[in-house]
Amino acid sequence: MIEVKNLCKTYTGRGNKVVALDNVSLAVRAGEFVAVQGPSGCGKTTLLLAVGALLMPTSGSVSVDGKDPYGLSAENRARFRGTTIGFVFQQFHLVPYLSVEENILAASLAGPVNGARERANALMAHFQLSGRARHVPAELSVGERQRVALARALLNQPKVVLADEPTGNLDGENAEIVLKHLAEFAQQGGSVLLVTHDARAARYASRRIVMDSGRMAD
Amino acid sequence: MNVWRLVWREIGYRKGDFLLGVAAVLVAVGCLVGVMTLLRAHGGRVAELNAQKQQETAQLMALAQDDYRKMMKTMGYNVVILSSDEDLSEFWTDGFAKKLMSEELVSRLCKSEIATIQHVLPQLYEKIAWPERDNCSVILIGARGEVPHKHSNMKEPMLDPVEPGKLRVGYALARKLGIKAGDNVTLLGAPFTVSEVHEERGNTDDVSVWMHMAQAQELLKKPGQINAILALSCLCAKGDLELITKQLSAILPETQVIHRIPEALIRLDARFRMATLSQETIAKETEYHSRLGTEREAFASWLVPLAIVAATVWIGLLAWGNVRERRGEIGILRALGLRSRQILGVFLAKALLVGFAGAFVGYAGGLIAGMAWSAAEGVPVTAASAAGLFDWRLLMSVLVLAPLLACVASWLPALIAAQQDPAVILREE
Repeated sequence: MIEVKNLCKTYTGRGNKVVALDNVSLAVRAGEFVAVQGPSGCGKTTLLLAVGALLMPTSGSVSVDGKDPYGLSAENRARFRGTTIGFVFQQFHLVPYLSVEENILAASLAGPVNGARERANALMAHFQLSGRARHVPAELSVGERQRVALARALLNQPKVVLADEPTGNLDGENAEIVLKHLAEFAQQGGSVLLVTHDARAARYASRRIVMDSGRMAD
Repeated sequence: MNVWRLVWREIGYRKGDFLLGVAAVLVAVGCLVGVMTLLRAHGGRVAELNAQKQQETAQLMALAQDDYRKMMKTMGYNVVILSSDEDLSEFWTDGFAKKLMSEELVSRLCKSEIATIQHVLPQLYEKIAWPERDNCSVILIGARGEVPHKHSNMKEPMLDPVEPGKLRVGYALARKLGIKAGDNVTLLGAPFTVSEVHEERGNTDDVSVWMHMAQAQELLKKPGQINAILALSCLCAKGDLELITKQLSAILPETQVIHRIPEALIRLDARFRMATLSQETIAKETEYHSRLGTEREAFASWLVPLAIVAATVWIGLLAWGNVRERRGEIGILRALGLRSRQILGVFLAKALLVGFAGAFVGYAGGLIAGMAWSAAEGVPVTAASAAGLFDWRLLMSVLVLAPLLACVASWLPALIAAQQDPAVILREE
């Protein structure tokens, strides 16, 4: 489902060059939940963004659901991202003026999604957010916010979910809930690539990868 | 869920930003509409004054014409052309001319280009004793009616010509002889029917009888002869008797010209003076409003562009602030699959709404302000004139142009937002 080969990413700026990814190769199959761990600045988030068709690699190849997103035009890459990949971030990135329901439905802004409202209702019920449908993010607990972000990531029934420290701001109980839902997604045939410091992730991930200085450590 | 809903929600969330943007458009549109309304009000006032001026002048001129006509009907013609041999002392003493001249002079006069006289009426006078009426002294007047003038269309005759076989009799004479309209009388052996008895005029007309010129010439044995040509000076000459005399002397050198009833001309002149004064007063007011309009146009020529430029800059800055504030939102929307042009659309849609709302409120505000300003400058707005100040074309124009202007002002910030790298935003956020 996800295949990364010899991926390199070098950031350049102010005369400096920072190698964020150094010849990284990785494969995540359908139904697999892979946790990427490592110290801060090791390149985990860069890997996630590159896989998520958001960051053009310096070299190497990325394939998601059998397609190279960087071989597509910017417009088609955005559409591909909207339909194939779901994102979950540590900071939730919810739109502050939209209600819970609208935040989930925001995933349908990229293009029409059949039965989006029904699916949003089903996801709210699944994530125990039905009672919060009309609330805005500021009125939610952090756990609820992350569940809203997760529901939004799943609205378009993506093949892949990319999660960047989704439990970073959550207490133990809420972190468990999020990890459980990610594992559930993988069990249903999706691929999950989780970037985390959270040791609990190992209990839910089917595979664990450690990165250090832009390379796969083992 | 669609982009418009997103825009609407964002406006509700950041009401202050939206209202500031609307206020900027409101000020620009309000300035434009206010000044246009004021200029329109002044323009309307100038048109109103011009119409009033034309109407008053026409009324005064009509009154003057009417006065003149009435006076001349009552008091007679004011230009008398006599033979150069005529003794004016006798003329004034007797009240009528005695020396004869050829009737051909009338043709010559009427074929000339002279435009300062009208209503040309040749007459033949003779004081006779009416043999069939105890030799009562009467002034017999032969009149052939007014002769058409080459220079202008035939005016409505001041006096109807006397038909052959008819007789008109002066007031005092009719009273003395017991004559009334419809009577059959004989004069110098010829039968006549009295067609009319004149009202009292207080001059020699009261002891005169009028008959057709040809009959008078035949009875008096003076074929082709006349004593006087009466005429009326044209209103356009405004009593310039010297000019009329000069022109007539050039055409008819064998005659002399005298002018009667100068009081009629004095009254006429008073009418003209009133008309002139009225025109001058209205012209001054028209000039005042025109000058005020010009001053306001000059004022608008820098105020309106300044307001538009300021509004454009202000909306641009607000849009830029909005883009910076919504950086994280842009990043996640891009991650969710929104294309660059959709992000551009989100910001431009908001600008459209800002422009539209500002234009609508600005038009209403500008119209009210323009009316108040107009009233303060002495052109009060009535319910009727207010309807004339509403310009739907201007409303349509600002409703189209203000949103366009807001879009232009927001274009660069919106473009920057659309081109932001979501990876950079998400990494930094």
